[in-house]
Amino acid sequence: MKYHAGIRKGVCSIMKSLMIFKRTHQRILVLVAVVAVVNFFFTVFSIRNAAIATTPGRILVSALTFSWPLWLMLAVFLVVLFRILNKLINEPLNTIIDYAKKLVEHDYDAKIDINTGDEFDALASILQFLAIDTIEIFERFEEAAGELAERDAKLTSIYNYLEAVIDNMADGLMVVNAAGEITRVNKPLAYCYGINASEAIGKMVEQVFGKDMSRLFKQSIGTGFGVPVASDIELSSSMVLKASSTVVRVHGLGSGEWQSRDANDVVIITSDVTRERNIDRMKTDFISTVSHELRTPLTSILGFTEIIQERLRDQIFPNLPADSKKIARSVKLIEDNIGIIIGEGMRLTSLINDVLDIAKMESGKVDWKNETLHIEDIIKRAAQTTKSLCDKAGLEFIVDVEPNMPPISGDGDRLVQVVINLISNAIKFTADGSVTCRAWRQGSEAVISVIDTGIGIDPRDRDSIFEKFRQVGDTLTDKPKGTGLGLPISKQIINHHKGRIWIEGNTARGSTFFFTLPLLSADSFRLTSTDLDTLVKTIRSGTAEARTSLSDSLDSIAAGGKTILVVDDDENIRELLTQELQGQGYNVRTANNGVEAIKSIKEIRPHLIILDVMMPEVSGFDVAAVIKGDPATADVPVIILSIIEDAERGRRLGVDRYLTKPINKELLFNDIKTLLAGGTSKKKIMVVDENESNVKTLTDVLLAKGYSVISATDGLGSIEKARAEKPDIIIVDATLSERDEFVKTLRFEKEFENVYFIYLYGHEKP
Amino acid sequence: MPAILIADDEQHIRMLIEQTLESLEDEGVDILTAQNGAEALEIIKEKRPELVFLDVMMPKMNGFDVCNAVKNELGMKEVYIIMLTAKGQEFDKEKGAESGCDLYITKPFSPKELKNKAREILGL
Repeated sequence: MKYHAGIRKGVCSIMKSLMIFKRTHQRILVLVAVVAVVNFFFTVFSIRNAAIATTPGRILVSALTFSWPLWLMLAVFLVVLFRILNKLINEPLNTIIDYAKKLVEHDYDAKIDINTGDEFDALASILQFLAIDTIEIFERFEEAAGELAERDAKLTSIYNYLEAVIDNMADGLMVVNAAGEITRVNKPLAYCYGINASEAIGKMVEQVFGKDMSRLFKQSIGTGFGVPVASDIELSSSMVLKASSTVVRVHGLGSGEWQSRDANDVVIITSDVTRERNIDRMKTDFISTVSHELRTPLTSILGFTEIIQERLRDQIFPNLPADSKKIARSVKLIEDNIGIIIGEGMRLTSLINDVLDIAKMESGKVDWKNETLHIEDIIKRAAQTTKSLCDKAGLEFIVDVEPNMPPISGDGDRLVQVVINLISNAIKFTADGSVTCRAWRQGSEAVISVIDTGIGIDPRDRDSIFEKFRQVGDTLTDKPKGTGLGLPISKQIINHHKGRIWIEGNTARGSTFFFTLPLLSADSFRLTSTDLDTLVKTIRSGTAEARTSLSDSLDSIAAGGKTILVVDDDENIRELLTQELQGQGYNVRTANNGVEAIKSIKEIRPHLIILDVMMPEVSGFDVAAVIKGDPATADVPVIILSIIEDAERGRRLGVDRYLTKPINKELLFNDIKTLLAGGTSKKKIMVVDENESNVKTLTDVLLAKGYSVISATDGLGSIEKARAEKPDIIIVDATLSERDEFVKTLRFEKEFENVYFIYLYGHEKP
Repeated sequence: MPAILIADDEQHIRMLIEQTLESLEDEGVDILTAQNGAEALEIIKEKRPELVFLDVMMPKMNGFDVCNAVKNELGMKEVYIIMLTAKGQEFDKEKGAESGCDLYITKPFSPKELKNKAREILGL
């Protein structure tokens, strides 16, 4: 249409010009006609003049005019010119204007017939070409419009198709924009919630689908692009939906509204898992019932067999005639058979226990304990249980554990179960040779391995061995030993502890099972004995080491004065403090971030640290926590210089002074002087042990080493004392702490988060 | 005369424990039995046994409720109560602790161990 109007406009303007031209031309014609008439009059006049006599006026006239034949000729010429002009200009002009009028009226098929060969001819041809072009363009237009309509129809049908797919899929689907507004809900989902899909559009997730769904959406937004998040949602109709949520990114698809659609939309797909969950529940109930129903008769079978065994042994067999070989053989057989009944009964019991165990772990119904444990103890406990088995099998049993590893956190009984499992497996499948249990530290993990010299495991079976009821090898010829559930259970346990379990070694030379457990950070590590020297060394080790290894540099520092470490990410402040402090005669080291600060402290122990809080990556508080948490540097005075007012947090971290910016120079220098003069703050140590003589020995030694000491002999008293006295270090008997949960109580209290705990192990029980 | 009560709805289990503890009878221990929780509670109130073996799942009154009645409602803390559970590791420790039971033993149990425990508790 636009083109149409364009043509019309063009043709109109041409027409207008032609009209103007026509008007001008007509004026010319009129002029010619007037001239011709005047000329004719002159002609007549000259003829009459020539006929009549001459007068003085005649002389003037004849001077003005030509002779009459000339005038006549001119007149005739003008008339002819008029006719010609009319014929040559006016007629084609009219034709062209008519044609243009037709064009304006969209009659592009109209013909124009001018064959004058002049400009009008050219103009007419141009107009005609224009008309032809227009026809062609219109044809193309129509074609394109047809195509567009076709595509539109196609798109509509694709859209309808997708809509039908989305609405007819078995799963529910919802799309939510980043603001939490629902942009699409399909029919199955709407049906589950008993709502109308179109009503939900534009509303907030929580409003329509409740808190659980909203939580999932927020979790998904928090997790970000590409990572699906799932959760079970129980509806009031007791229907259970499994909802999986993913953030979807739509990259610029085209133009307009869709171009900037890389906003984070969330797609949530729900599937009805009511049946599965019910089956899960039924499975667990079933297993629990079966286990109960199996245990009761098993109790009778095993119990009575044991009673029979005892009675036979104590009362019947001794009273049988001793000389009969037959009876002696029967007695031996009966004893063996009863032994078999008891053995198999116990195997059945352990199978029931294992099945229950794995069923509970799989359904997440295990109440895991969370204790601070030491790998050494776990392995010791497992070794005690399995040692007799090993001896019986005639295998060498080697235990090799790296000493002084940091503790781990987890469920002790379960972890012992894993080690027992691995060791007894190793024993089961090893005819001769040895079983070795090793543990060592590797980075932030403890690695535990159980190595045997047995039949080994085919590499192809290495993964399937951790599946339920799988024992590798030919189960028809090799009699399965055990329940086949030990490794799957072990895997579940290790997975729960965020460790890994795997197997190495080849078939011929035996196999090695490995598992890892994450170690706790080094803030609490153990002492293997009450060796007092070791204890004192532990408290001071870092300090002492730093001093001896860096004695040279320390000497030089001592000569030139005390060293102060300035930590600030602002160069100007670093420079300012450096100049001021150097002016006061201090040695100054600088660090422009937390990481560098910690590195610098480890290299050369400063006498004092000035710390900014707001720094990129590692904040000043974090640096302070590291410094105060490490016994090697805990006694270095720390002054925090910050624009943030959070002295309370600083105090909790053990920061010595908390000053706010802008820097008050005098105050700062005063504090530095006081802190350096006072030296390191005296460490207060609390000793907790039930054994009073232990407490006394420890107290004496620590006092002699210059620590201030408080003591307690029971859990409750120690909690009160610790709260009142706020010691820097608490040395506590491990067995007491476990029994009383004393440490657990204290350790998780906010004001004790920076207290350094040392556990004493290896006390002989009275 | 010290007394032991065995409360279990399963006849065979009662028999098993009775036979297990038979030898104690020679040492002057009275062995009583009950077939359900209500009966157990009556006997405990009447005879005040030193030791009770109490099955958890019993008709009329379950073991937890019997234990709770004895320990918390009647205040008979001196009665040593051993719960017998067939539910294995699923034994509800919290419930057990709340009801005030002194010990729980999982079925199947070893008669020998049961006897040793009884001897220890009765101070024999």
